[in-house]
Amino acid sequence: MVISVIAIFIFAAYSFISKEIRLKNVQENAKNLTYNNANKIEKILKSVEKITESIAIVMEHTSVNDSELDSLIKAIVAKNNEISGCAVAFEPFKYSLSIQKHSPYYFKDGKEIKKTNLAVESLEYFYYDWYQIPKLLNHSIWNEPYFDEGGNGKLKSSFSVPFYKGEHISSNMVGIVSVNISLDWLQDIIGNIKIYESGYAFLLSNRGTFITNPNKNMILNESIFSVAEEYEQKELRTMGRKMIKGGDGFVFVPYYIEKEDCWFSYAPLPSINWSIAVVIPEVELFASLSYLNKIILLIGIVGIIVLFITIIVISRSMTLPLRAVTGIADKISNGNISAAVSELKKVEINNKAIQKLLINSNEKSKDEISQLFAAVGKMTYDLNTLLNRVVESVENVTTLRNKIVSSIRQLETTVTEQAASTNEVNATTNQISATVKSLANTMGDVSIVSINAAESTTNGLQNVAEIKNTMGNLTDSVNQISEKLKNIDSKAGNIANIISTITKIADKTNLLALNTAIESEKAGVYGAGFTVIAQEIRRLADQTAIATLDIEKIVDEMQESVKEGVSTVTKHTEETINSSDKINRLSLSLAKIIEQSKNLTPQFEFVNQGMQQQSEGAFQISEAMGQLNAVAKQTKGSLVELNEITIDLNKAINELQKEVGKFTV
Amino acid sequence: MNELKKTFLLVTAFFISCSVFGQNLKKVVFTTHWIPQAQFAGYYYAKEKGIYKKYGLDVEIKSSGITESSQDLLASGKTDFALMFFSTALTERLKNIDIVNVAQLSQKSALIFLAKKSSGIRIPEDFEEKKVGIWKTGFEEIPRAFFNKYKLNVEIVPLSSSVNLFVLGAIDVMTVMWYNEYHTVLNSGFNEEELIPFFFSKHGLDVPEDGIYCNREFYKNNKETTEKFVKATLEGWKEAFKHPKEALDIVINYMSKSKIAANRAHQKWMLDRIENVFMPTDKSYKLGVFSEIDFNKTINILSTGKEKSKYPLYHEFVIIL
Repeated sequence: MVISVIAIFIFAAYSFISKEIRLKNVQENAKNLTYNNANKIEKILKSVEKITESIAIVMEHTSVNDSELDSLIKAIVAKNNEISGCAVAFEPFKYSLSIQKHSPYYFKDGKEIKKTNLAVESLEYFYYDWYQIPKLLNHSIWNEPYFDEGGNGKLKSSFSVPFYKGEHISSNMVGIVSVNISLDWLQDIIGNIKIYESGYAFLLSNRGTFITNPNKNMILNESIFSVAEEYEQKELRTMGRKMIKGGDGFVFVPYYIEKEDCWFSYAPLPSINWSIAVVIPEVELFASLSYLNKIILLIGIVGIIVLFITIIVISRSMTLPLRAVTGIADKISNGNISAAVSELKKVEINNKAIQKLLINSNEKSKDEISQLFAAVGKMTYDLNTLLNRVVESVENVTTLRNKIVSSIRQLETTVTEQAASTNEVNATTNQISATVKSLANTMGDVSIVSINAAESTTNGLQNVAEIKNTMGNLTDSVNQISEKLKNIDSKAGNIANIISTITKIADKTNLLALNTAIESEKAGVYGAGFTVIAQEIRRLADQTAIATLDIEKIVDEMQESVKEGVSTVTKHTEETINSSDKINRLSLSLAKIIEQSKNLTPQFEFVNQGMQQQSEGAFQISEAMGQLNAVAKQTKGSLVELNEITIDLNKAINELQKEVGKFTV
Repeated sequence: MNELKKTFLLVTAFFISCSVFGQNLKKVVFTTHWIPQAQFAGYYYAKEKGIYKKYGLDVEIKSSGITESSQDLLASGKTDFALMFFSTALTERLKNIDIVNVAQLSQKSALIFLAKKSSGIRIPEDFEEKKVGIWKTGFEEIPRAFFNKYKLNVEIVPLSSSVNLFVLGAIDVMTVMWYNEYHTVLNSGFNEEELIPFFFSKHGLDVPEDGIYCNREFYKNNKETTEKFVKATLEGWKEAFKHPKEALDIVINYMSKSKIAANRAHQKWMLDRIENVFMPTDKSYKLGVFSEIDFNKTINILSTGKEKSKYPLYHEFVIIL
């Protein structure tokens, strides 16, 4: 394409430049032609002018009589071939005071020379242009040509020279010498100017009238201006005005006389005020050029055609597989992979090169299109395989997701259970705490009572009844303590049970989290969220396990303390019971008792201390439980997140399924 | 039935042709006041298209103007009808030649004083002491009225027919007809902007021109023929204006027969301007009818006080057909 554009450009430039050169040459030639002929014509006209002027000089400087004038005029007409007639016309009464009009006129009639007197006829020669114009202008003039009715309608013109008596002013004018000439020779000269095929010349008068023209009807009938008007050619009028003003030039006139584009070269004939022009049809001007141009153009066109055919063939061989590729790509984009594959196979069968390329990807082809086609083919097959795998993966992911969902549900149930258990532990711990507190109170009371008892004992035996009573109360209290301690013991046992449950759950959570981690790892990108969550869950499970271990330890310690307390209390109870029984008997050994009672107080403090330790332990349990609860809450939050992620996963799976569903595999 | 019809048609055709060929066409001679040109297109058209024949006339159209004038031919009885300017006709009447106007075609003066701007002329007063060309053939009254009106002292140059004196610069101003010489000057290489035309019609000298005249005696003896001739002539003009191309072809044919230099552009211009003058759009008129007002205006323009009584009266001079 670019080549052809350049070729056309070069051709146009060549054509333009060669035309310009040609035009310049033609302009030069035409100018020479017009000036040469103008000179030729002027030479002849000048000789006529000289003769006429000579007669005028004779008329001015000599006083000739009738016969002398007659013989002079006759001789002039006879001796000069180009002159067809001569008249000497006088102003009224200037020839003779008695004669108004006088104008002898000699003219050729065949071989004869005839004479007439213009004054005799009814002609009023004073008012004829040939007389009036030089008279008014006071100088000689070539008159507008005319058809001589007396001389077979020949084209003639005349040269008039005024002659004077004295100074050359109008009032001194005596008459006019006028010589007329046939313009046959002029028409011959102009008629013989030939340029190119039909190029011709014409002559214009000083009014723009055609003096010569190949179209005879135009001579004297038309002026360059009337032609310009009739054919509405402004260029022609402009040129005409320049011509009658004595200019020269080279002008283009389009569609001259409704025929053809023409070039005009014109030059003046200064002495006569006429103008000569050469007309060259543009077609002929560039005829030889156009022949050369035609050959060049033909070569160019043939070249361009060959180029085009080559381009078409190549581009067809290129576009055919390209079109197949486009078709395949279209089908792929529509999701119709199976159709694309079947089309690909069709092309493959038809194109061995592509087949080869498809079979052996190492095969190198110089043909880029085949390579492209092979690449697209390979891509299509790969895409097909990939899509099949994707479909499978989607199915796998779906199964996985279902598994994750069920795991989450299980986890949820477990966490709920854990929460419930934790709450139970909490309640139990609170009960323990309350019991321990009341026990402590009781212990305080016991302490006071024992101190009181000791004091009372020291105070007197009279208070033995009181002591007895008090002892009874003490026994009751000790029993109560014992019972309560047992209660604590059993509760602690419960805690141990619950803790083992928690441990189990933690283990289970840990296991589940591990599974989840593994599965989410399988799910790849989609499972990335899961992995994090699973790790978090595992961490929590570990924390739970550690906390549980702590609790276990504390509970164990607590149980031990309780057992110790119980055994101590039981021991004291037995001792108290023994003491009460023995009070009566052992009132004597009251001092001993007092002594023992005094010993009792620090023991009670010890119990009290144990109780406080218990209380602290319960508090620690409560804290651990709180932690456990927080962990459970976190787990629940994680589970909500997990749920949300599962929903996202679900969505992703659905979208993936939708996308994959677009492909017909 | 068909045979009968045919016979009837044939018989009818025979009688019609008999009546045409057998008719004695009345011979009439008509003379234009100048050589063939589009100014006379209507008469040629009426003759060539058989309009005169239709009216039972065999009209011979003669030209005049170079060696003899149409008024001379009419006075000498060499023509039955003659075309004349109204001013010429009045001059004839003043010579006691008893002619009558049977049709007035021109409704408006087409006369112009054409000046070259290069002569420094812009207004009529600029004519003072300039060379002014006026046609020598009995057509001086109106230009003189123009000089009188503007009290001008000019050097009058009598002219024959050419515009060469003007074109070559031998004179500064010349009388031209709008439909004729004005265009000739344009087609001699002058542009309109280089010229300045003074239309007589715009200077209070609107004297109608072309009219058909005959001797009163002839009219008295040939009233019917005169009427037919005028009617046919008016029809010829109407048709010529309607078919300018055909009219121009006829005119150019007449010109070449008379060996007259002709160009179509010029003749077209002339026919168009003649239509402007015969059927002016800025004036109420009836084709071929002389308005009494225009008649009296012209008398006023051409006569000076005392002479007025010598001029004819409208109803005596103009025959309304």
